[in-house]
Amino acid sequence: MKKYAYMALIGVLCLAFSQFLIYDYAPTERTMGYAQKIFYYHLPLAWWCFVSFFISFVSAILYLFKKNMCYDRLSAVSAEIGFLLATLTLVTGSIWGRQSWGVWWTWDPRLTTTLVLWFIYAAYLVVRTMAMPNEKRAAVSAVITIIGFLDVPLVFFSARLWRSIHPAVFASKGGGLEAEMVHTVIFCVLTFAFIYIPLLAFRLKQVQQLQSMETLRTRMLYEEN
Amino acid sequence: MNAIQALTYANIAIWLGIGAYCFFLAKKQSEMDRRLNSLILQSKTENDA
Repeated sequence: MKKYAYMALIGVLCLAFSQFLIYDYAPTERTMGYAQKIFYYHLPLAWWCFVSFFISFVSAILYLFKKNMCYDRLSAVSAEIGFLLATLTLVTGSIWGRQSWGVWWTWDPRLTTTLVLWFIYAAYLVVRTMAMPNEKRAAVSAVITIIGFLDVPLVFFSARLWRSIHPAVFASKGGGLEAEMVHTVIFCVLTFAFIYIPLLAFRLKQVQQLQSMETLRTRMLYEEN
Repeated sequence: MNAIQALTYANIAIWLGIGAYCFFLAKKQSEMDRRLNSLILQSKTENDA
């Protein structure tokens, strides 16, 4: 756990350093001005949200095949963090949209599919809190995760497949970004890795301990009777 | 809202979001520690009896 604590510390320091890159190093875009710099947070959040849901999806499949609760825990924790990242992606996107499109929200394919994804995982988190046997909860959750993940490729390709006002950043080579912009966005993507991995590790350990404690309590109650 | 304000708000949202999740983790941990302590106490009382 200590290595994750160091990793989290590096993540926070990198997040602070990314401020310098965003405000000073990366050039200001001509049409959108400073508002375009929201992109340096928005894109890493969205990408790590996809990674998170992908880990959750793979773990859910593994759970259904192997019936090992470790996979269920990993799937649940990854979906929880993915939900946080999806929320932040929507919030930062909305602020950026207000600045560049003049509206907080529009029913654009990219935005709508992302909102659908957010609702699916919100429902998933509600299901996780419902009182039911652990195995049943794990199976239901795995099915929701697998179905929910089908929306991720839709979100990713929506800006390319349908007429969307949302830019598909790396659709063309380099995405029309200057070198400094690319460096900054890569740094921000890596920074979020240092935040995502420790969060995942801490929460996973916590859920594992919680389940062990529940087992112990049940055993004690059983022995009492 | 001007562009600088928009960027600042987005920044605040991220720090708040991650901070809130860390707070949630810390709260869960302290709740778990409390429950664990009560379990240990319960187990000790049973052993003594």
